[in-house]
Amino acid sequence: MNITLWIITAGLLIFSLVKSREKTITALKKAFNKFTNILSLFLLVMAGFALIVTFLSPEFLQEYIGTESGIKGIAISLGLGSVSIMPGFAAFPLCAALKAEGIPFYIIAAFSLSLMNVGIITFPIEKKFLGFSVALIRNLIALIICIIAIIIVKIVFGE
Amino acid sequence: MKKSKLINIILITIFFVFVGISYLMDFEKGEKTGQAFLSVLIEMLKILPCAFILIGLFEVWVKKETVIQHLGDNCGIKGYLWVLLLAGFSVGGLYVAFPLAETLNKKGASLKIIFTYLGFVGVFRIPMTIFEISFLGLPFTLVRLMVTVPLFLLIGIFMGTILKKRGYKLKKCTNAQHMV
Repeated sequence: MNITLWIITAGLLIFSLVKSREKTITALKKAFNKFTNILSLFLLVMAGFALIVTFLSPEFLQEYIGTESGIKGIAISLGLGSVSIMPGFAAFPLCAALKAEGIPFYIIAAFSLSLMNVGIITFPIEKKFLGFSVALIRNLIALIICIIAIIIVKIVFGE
Repeated sequence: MKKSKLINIILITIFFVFVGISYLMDFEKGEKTGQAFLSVLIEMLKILPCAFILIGLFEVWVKKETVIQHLGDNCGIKGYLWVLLLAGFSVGGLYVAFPLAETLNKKGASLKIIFTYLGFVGVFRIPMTIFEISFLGLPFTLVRLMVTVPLFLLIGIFMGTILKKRGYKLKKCTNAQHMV
């Protein structure tokens, strides 16, 4: 997985370099700026992850968001995703770290999808644009779509 | 923005101090935390540079302006394709999408297009998708996209149609920028 990613990146980078040197340098600068921008949050999320996996036993994690956690696990992940505000730059590394701990894809989907589509903390902002009832309906529909996607992810990956 | 970064740095410093003291005092759980942090950090650093370089290349080679140009006359199926692309170019969370939805509204985009955009923006931001593929693998992302994109399209059209019948209008937030 990692190697494929590096090969694709290197290939595209060389292709870009051949096409235009300046644009490639701009791209690398942008990449670097994004990286430094997110670095503190990224480190914090990873520190949080390290604390969780050390202080909560693997059994605890497995019970609540593990392969056998089922609806309970989905509900917990959906809840956490809905109330969190976290850029994907920090969220996906966290998801990958959880995956490495044996957390199934459908639980990860529950967290990442609700994080991106359902906003409880940002609801006051949304309300100002859409009005209370439409904002509420949009969030509820987004939640339902998340649940459908979670079920399909669970079926496809069979975890 | 700056303030939250400062808080992050303070918290990380506390974390490092905690791990450092754990090593000095032979506190086993603290030492383990430090090791877990280091190993996850190394794993992530194997992926992170690629993900950011890919996003950088994407942003340099594909221009957002081209997409916005095509949204002026957004009738028919093409409008949905362009709005999918527009969502692809969006950065930040949903709360950044609302001001843009307002702009679309001002430019005369239909409610169907606007609500489809709000759906797409949560699931089809290209930089985020690159990131997701890098960290969780292509199969997961493909499954997720194949489910969520059609559903959000249907819901967008559905909500737009119903709300239009009811004479719904987006609220006007002139100071949209300040709210984000």
